[in-house]
Amino acid sequence: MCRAQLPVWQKFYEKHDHENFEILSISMDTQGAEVARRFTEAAGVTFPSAVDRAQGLWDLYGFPVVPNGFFVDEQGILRYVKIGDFDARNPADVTAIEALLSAPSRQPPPGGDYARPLIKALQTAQEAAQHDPKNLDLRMTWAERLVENKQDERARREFQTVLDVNPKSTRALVGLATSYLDLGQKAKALAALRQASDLDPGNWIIHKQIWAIEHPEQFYPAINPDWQKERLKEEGKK
Amino acid sequence: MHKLIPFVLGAMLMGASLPLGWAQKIRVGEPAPDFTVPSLDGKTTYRLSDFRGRRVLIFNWASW
Repeated sequence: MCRAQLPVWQKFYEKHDHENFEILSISMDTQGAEVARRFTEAAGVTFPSAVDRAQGLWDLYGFPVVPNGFFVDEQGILRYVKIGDFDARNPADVTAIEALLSAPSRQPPPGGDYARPLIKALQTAQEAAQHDPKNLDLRMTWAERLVENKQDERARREFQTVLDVNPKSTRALVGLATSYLDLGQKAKALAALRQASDLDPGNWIIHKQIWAIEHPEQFYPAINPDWQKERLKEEGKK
Repeated sequence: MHKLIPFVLGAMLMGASLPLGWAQKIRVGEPAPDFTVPSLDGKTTYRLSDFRGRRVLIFNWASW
Protein backbone atom coordinates (compact mmCIF):
# COMPACT_ATOMS: atom_id res chain seq x y z
CA MET A 1 0.00 0.00 0.00
CA CYS A 2 1.94 2.93 -1.37
CA ARG A 3 -0.14 5.64 0.24
CA ALA A 4 0.91 4.57 3.75
CA GLN A 5 4.44 5.65 2.85
CA LEU A 6 3.57 9.33 2.40
CA PRO A 7 3.94 10.42 6.06
CA VAL A 8 7.22 8.49 6.28
CA TRP A 9 8.63 10.28 3.23
CA GLN A 10 7.45 13.59 4.71
CA LYS A 11 9.58 12.94 7.81
CA PHE A 12 12.53 11.98 5.61
CA TYR A 13 12.05 15.20 3.65
CA GLU A 14 12.01 17.33 6.80
CA LYS A 15 15.26 15.67 7.88
CA HIS A 16 17.05 16.22 4.54
CA ASP A 17 15.45 19.12 2.69
CA HIS A 18 18.33 21.48 3.61
CA GLU A 19 20.77 19.13 1.81
CA ASN A 20 20.03 20.41 -1.70
CA PHE A 21 17.33 17.79 -1.97
CA GLU A 22 13.77 17.59 -3.19
CA ILE A 23 11.19 14.83 -3.30
CA LEU A 24 8.85 14.80 -6.29
CA SER A 25 6.00 12.41 -5.65
CA ILE A 26 4.03 11.23 -8.65
CA SER A 27 0.83 9.26 -8.26
CA MET A 28 -0.28 6.97 -11.10
CA ASP A 29 -3.98 7.53 -10.45
CA THR A 30 -5.88 7.47 -13.74
CA GLN A 31 -8.89 8.88 -11.89
CA GLY A 32 -7.03 12.13 -11.38
CA ALA A 33 -5.42 14.42 -8.84
CA GLU A 34 -8.37 14.58 -6.47
CA VAL A 35 -8.24 10.96 -5.37
CA ALA A 36 -4.47 11.21 -4.71
CA ARG A 37 -4.60 14.61 -3.05
CA ARG A 38 -6.75 13.28 -0.22
CA PHE A 39 -3.81 11.17 0.90
CA THR A 40 -1.03 13.74 0.48
CA GLU A 41 -3.12 16.23 2.44
CA ALA A 42 -3.85 13.74 5.20
CA ALA A 43 -0.12 12.98 5.43
CA GLY A 44 0.77 16.70 5.62
CA VAL A 45 3.02 16.43 2.57
CA THR A 46 4.95 19.61 1.73
CA PHE A 47 7.15 18.30 -1.11
CA PRO A 48 6.11 18.79 -4.75
CA SER A 49 3.44 16.26 -5.68
CA ALA A 50 2.02 15.46 -9.08
CA VAL A 51 -0.15 12.96 -10.93
CA ASP A 52 0.49 10.99 -14.11
CA ARG A 53 -3.04 10.04 -15.09
CA ALA A 54 -2.43 8.78 -18.60
CA GLN A 55 0.75 7.08 -17.46
CA GLY A 56 3.09 8.80 -19.89
CA LEU A 57 5.82 8.28 -17.30
CA TRP A 58 5.20 4.57 -17.07
CA ASP A 59 5.56 4.44 -20.85
CA LEU A 60 8.73 6.56 -20.81
CA TYR A 61 10.50 4.83 -17.91
CA GLY A 62 8.96 1.41 -18.45
CA PHE A 63 7.52 0.12 -15.22
CA PRO A 64 4.45 -2.10 -14.76
CA VAL A 65 4.10 -1.67 -10.97
CA VAL A 66 4.28 0.84 -8.12
CA PRO A 67 5.79 1.92 -5.72
CA ASN A 68 9.04 2.94 -7.39
CA GLY A 69 11.98 5.17 -6.44
CA PHE A 70 14.31 7.06 -8.80
CA PHE A 71 17.15 9.26 -7.57
CA VAL A 72 18.34 11.95 -9.99
CA ASP A 73 21.54 13.90 -9.28
CA GLU A 74 22.34 17.60 -9.81
CA GLN A 75 23.22 16.92 -13.47
CA GLY A 76 20.02 15.02 -14.18
CA ILE A 77 21.70 11.59 -14.14
CA LEU A 78 19.90 8.59 -12.61
CA ARG A 79 21.84 7.35 -9.57
CA TYR A 80 19.31 4.90 -8.16
CA VAL A 81 16.41 2.96 -9.64
CA LYS A 82 14.11 0.63 -7.77
CA ILE A 83 11.03 -0.62 -9.58
CA GLY A 84 8.43 -2.25 -7.34
CA ASP A 85 8.55 -2.47 -3.56
CA PHE A 86 10.37 0.81 -3.05
CA ASP A 87 9.47 1.58 0.54
CA ALA A 88 10.19 4.35 3.05
CA ARG A 89 9.78 1.76 5.80
CA ASN A 90 12.43 -0.54 4.33
CA PRO A 91 15.81 0.33 5.95
CA ALA A 92 17.74 -0.84 2.84
CA ASP A 93 15.88 1.62 0.58
CA VAL A 94 16.27 4.51 3.03
CA THR A 95 19.98 3.75 3.51
CA ALA A 96 20.54 3.76 -0.25
CA ILE A 97 19.00 7.22 -0.59
CA GLU A 98 20.84 8.56 2.47
CA ALA A 99 24.15 7.27 1.06
CA LEU A 100 23.54 9.32 -2.08
CA LEU A 101 22.66 12.37 0.03
CA SER A 102 25.85 12.03 2.10
CA ALA A 103 27.90 13.28 -0.87
CA PRO A 104 28.54 17.03 -0.61
CA SER A 105 26.22 19.09 -2.76
CA ARG A 106 25.99 22.82 -3.21
CA GLN A 107 22.63 24.54 -3.26
CA PRO A 108 22.02 26.21 -6.65
CA PRO A 109 21.46 29.97 -6.66
CA PRO A 110 17.95 30.86 -5.47
CA GLY A 111 15.23 31.75 -7.91
CA GLY A 112 14.80 28.36 -9.52
CA ASP A 113 11.11 27.59 -9.66
CA TYR A 114 9.89 24.11 -10.57
CA ALA A 115 6.25 25.00 -11.04
CA ARG A 116 5.06 26.24 -14.41
CA PRO A 117 1.56 27.38 -15.34
CA LEU A 118 -0.62 24.63 -16.84
CA ILE A 119 -1.44 26.71 -19.89
CA LYS A 120 2.26 27.21 -20.70
CA ALA A 121 2.94 23.49 -20.62
CA LEU A 122 -0.08 23.03 -22.93
CA GLN A 123 1.25 25.62 -25.40
CA THR A 124 4.71 24.02 -25.44
CA ALA A 125 3.23 20.56 -26.03
CA GLN A 126 0.88 21.83 -28.72
CA GLU A 127 3.68 23.58 -30.62
CA ALA A 128 5.85 20.46 -30.47
CA ALA A 129 3.00 18.24 -31.71
CA GLN A 130 2.03 20.58 -34.54
CA HIS A 131 5.65 20.99 -35.60
CA ASP A 132 5.94 17.21 -36.05
CA PRO A 133 2.37 16.00 -36.73
CA LYS A 134 3.33 12.39 -37.44
CA ASN A 135 5.04 11.94 -34.06
CA LEU A 136 2.50 10.05 -31.99
CA ASP A 137 4.38 10.47 -28.69
CA LEU A 138 4.25 14.25 -29.05
CA ARG A 139 0.56 14.06 -29.93
CA MET A 140 -0.17 12.01 -26.80
CA THR A 141 1.82 14.42 -24.64
CA TRP A 142 -0.26 17.24 -26.08
CA ALA A 143 -3.48 15.29 -25.45
CA GLU A 144 -2.40 14.69 -21.82
CA ARG A 145 -1.83 18.44 -21.37
CA LEU A 146 -5.30 19.06 -22.88
CA VAL A 147 -6.83 16.80 -20.20
CA GLU A 148 -5.02 18.74 -17.47
CA ASN A 149 -6.42 21.95 -18.90
CA LYS A 150 -9.90 20.43 -18.83
CA GLN A 151 -10.20 20.35 -22.63
CA ASP A 152 -11.33 16.76 -22.47
CA GLU A 153 -13.36 16.58 -25.67
CA ARG A 154 -10.41 17.87 -27.68
CA ALA A 155 -8.09 15.49 -25.83
CA ARG A 156 -10.39 12.56 -26.55
CA ARG A 157 -10.19 13.30 -30.27
CA GLU A 158 -6.39 13.49 -30.16
CA PHE A 159 -6.09 10.17 -28.32
CA GLN A 160 -8.50 8.67 -30.87
CA THR A 161 -6.35 9.99 -33.74
CA VAL A 162 -3.35 8.19 -32.24
CA LEU A 163 -5.41 5.00 -31.88
CA ASP A 164 -6.55 5.23 -35.51
CA VAL A 165 -2.87 5.00 -36.50
CA ASN A 166 -1.76 2.65 -33.74
CA PRO A 167 -4.70 0.74 -32.21
CA LYS A 168 -2.30 -1.06 -29.86
CA SER A 169 -1.05 2.03 -28.06
CA THR A 170 -1.80 1.31 -24.40
CA ARG A 171 -0.78 4.86 -23.48
CA ALA A 172 -3.38 6.29 -25.88
CA LEU A 173 -6.03 3.91 -24.51
CA VAL A 174 -5.32 4.94 -20.92
CA GLY A 175 -5.30 8.57 -22.05
CA LEU A 176 -8.65 8.04 -23.77
CA ALA A 177 -9.95 6.61 -20.48
CA THR A 178 -8.90 9.75 -18.58
CA SER A 179 -10.84 11.96 -20.98
CA TYR A 180 -13.90 9.70 -20.74
CA LEU A 181 -13.72 9.74 -16.93
CA ASP A 182 -13.70 13.55 -16.95
CA LEU A 183 -16.57 13.60 -19.42
CA GLY A 184 -18.56 11.40 -17.02
CA GLN A 185 -18.53 8.35 -19.32
CA LYS A 186 -17.34 5.70 -16.90
CA ALA A 187 -18.39 2.68 -19.00
CA LYS A 188 -16.41 3.91 -22.00
CA ALA A 189 -13.43 4.68 -19.75
CA LEU A 190 -13.50 1.15 -18.36
CA ALA A 191 -13.80 -0.33 -21.85
CA ALA A 192 -10.67 1.56 -22.95
CA LEU A 193 -8.78 0.47 -19.82
CA ARG A 194 -9.79 -3.16 -20.33
CA GLN A 195 -8.56 -2.98 -23.91
CA ALA A 196 -5.23 -1.59 -22.62
CA SER A 197 -5.06 -4.33 -19.99
CA ASP A 198 -5.67 -7.04 -22.61
CA LEU A 199 -2.83 -5.65 -24.72
CA ASP A 200 -0.48 -5.49 -21.74
CA PRO A 201 -1.67 -8.21 -19.33
CA GLY A 202 1.45 -7.97 -17.15
CA ASN A 203 0.74 -4.32 -16.39
CA TRP A 204 -0.36 -4.34 -12.79
CA ILE A 205 -0.95 -0.57 -12.73
CA ILE A 206 -3.72 -0.74 -15.33
CA HIS A 207 -5.14 -3.92 -13.82
CA LYS A 208 -5.47 -2.45 -10.35
CA GLN A 209 -6.72 0.87 -11.68
CA ILE A 210 -9.68 -0.94 -13.26
CA TRP A 211 -10.45 -2.55 -9.90
CA ALA A 212 -10.37 0.79 -8.11
CA ILE A 213 -12.76 2.39 -10.62
CA GLU A 214 -15.13 -0.59 -10.64
CA HIS A 215 -15.09 -1.15 -6.87
CA PRO A 216 -14.11 2.07 -5.11
CA GLU A 217 -15.60 0.75 -1.86
CA GLN A 218 -12.77 -1.83 -1.69
CA PHE A 219 -10.10 0.90 -1.89
CA TYR A 220 -11.49 4.02 -0.23
CA PRO A 221 -11.34 4.88 2.58
CA ALA A 222 -9.55 1.60 3.41
CA ILE A 223 -7.88 -0.96 1.14
CA ASN A 224 -9.31 -4.47 1.46
CA PRO A 225 -6.52 -6.99 0.68
CA ASP A 226 -8.86 -9.98 1.18
CA TRP A 227 -11.13 -8.70 -1.59
CA GLN A 228 -8.12 -8.46 -3.89
CA LYS A 229 -7.07 -12.04 -3.13
CA GLU A 230 -10.61 -13.26 -3.85
CA ARG A 231 -10.71 -11.28 -7.04
CA LEU A 232 -7.44 -12.78 -8.23
CA LYS A 233 -8.77 -16.27 -7.56
CA GLU A 234 -11.91 -15.52 -9.59
CA GLU A 235 -9.91 -14.07 -12.46
CA GLY A 236 -7.70 -17.16 -12.40
CA LYS A 237 -10.75 -19.39 -12.93
CA LYS A 238 -11.86 -17.52 -16.05
CA MET B 1 1.19 -17.70 -20.49
CA HIS B 2 -2.29 -16.43 -19.65
CA LYS B 3 -2.67 -19.07 -16.96
CA LEU B 4 0.41 -17.67 -15.28
CA ILE B 5 -0.94 -14.16 -14.98
CA PRO B 6 -3.00 -14.62 -11.79
CA PHE B 7 0.04 -16.10 -10.09
CA VAL B 8 2.29 -13.27 -11.17
CA LEU B 9 -0.28 -10.70 -10.04
CA GLY B 10 -0.78 -12.62 -6.81
CA ALA B 11 2.94 -12.45 -6.14
CA MET B 12 2.91 -8.70 -6.79
CA LEU B 13 -0.03 -8.18 -4.50
CA MET B 14 2.17 -9.55 -1.75
CA GLY B 15 4.89 -7.23 -2.98
CA ALA B 16 7.16 -9.79 -4.56
CA SER B 17 8.17 -9.74 -8.20
CA LEU B 18 7.89 -8.18 -11.61
CA PRO B 19 6.06 -9.80 -14.52
CA LEU B 20 7.88 -11.94 -17.05
CA GLY B 21 8.97 -10.34 -20.27
CA TRP B 22 9.01 -6.87 -18.80
CA ALA B 23 11.63 -4.45 -20.14
CA GLN B 24 13.09 -1.63 -18.09
CA LYS B 25 13.75 1.42 -20.25
CA ILE B 26 16.07 3.33 -17.91
CA ARG B 27 19.53 2.68 -16.45
CA VAL B 28 21.55 3.99 -13.53
CA GLY B 29 24.32 6.27 -14.83
CA GLU B 30 22.24 7.50 -17.77
CA PRO B 31 20.28 10.76 -17.99
CA ALA B 32 16.78 10.57 -16.50
CA PRO B 33 14.29 11.03 -19.38
CA ASP B 34 12.58 14.40 -19.02
CA PHE B 35 8.84 14.64 -18.39
CA THR B 36 6.15 17.11 -17.38
CA VAL B 37 3.45 16.22 -14.84
CA PRO B 38 0.62 18.34 -13.40
CA SER B 39 0.65 19.20 -9.70
CA LEU B 40 -1.94 17.65 -7.42
CA ASP B 41 -3.58 21.02 -6.78
CA GLY B 42 -4.34 21.17 -10.53
CA LYS B 43 -2.79 24.62 -10.89
CA THR B 44 0.73 24.09 -12.21
CA THR B 45 3.03 21.55 -13.80
CA TYR B 46 6.42 20.17 -12.78
CA ARG B 47 9.13 19.43 -15.30
CA LEU B 48 11.98 17.21 -14.17
CA SER B 49 14.64 19.27 -15.98
CA ASP B 50 13.57 22.35 -13.99
CA PHE B 51 15.04 20.61 -10.92
CA ARG B 52 18.53 20.60 -12.50
CA GLY B 53 21.13 21.61 -9.90
CA ARG B 54 19.21 19.84 -7.15
CA ARG B 55 19.08 16.21 -6.11
CA VAL B 56 15.63 14.72 -6.58
CA LEU B 57 13.99 11.56 -5.33
CA ILE B 58 11.06 10.65 -7.54
CA PHE B 59 8.59 8.64 -5.47
CA ASN B 60 6.09 6.89 -7.64
CA TRP B 61 2.89 5.66 -5.98
CA ALA B 62 -0.89 5.30 -6.36
CA SER B 63 -3.89 5.70 -4.07
CA TRP B 64 -5.01 2.12 -4.63
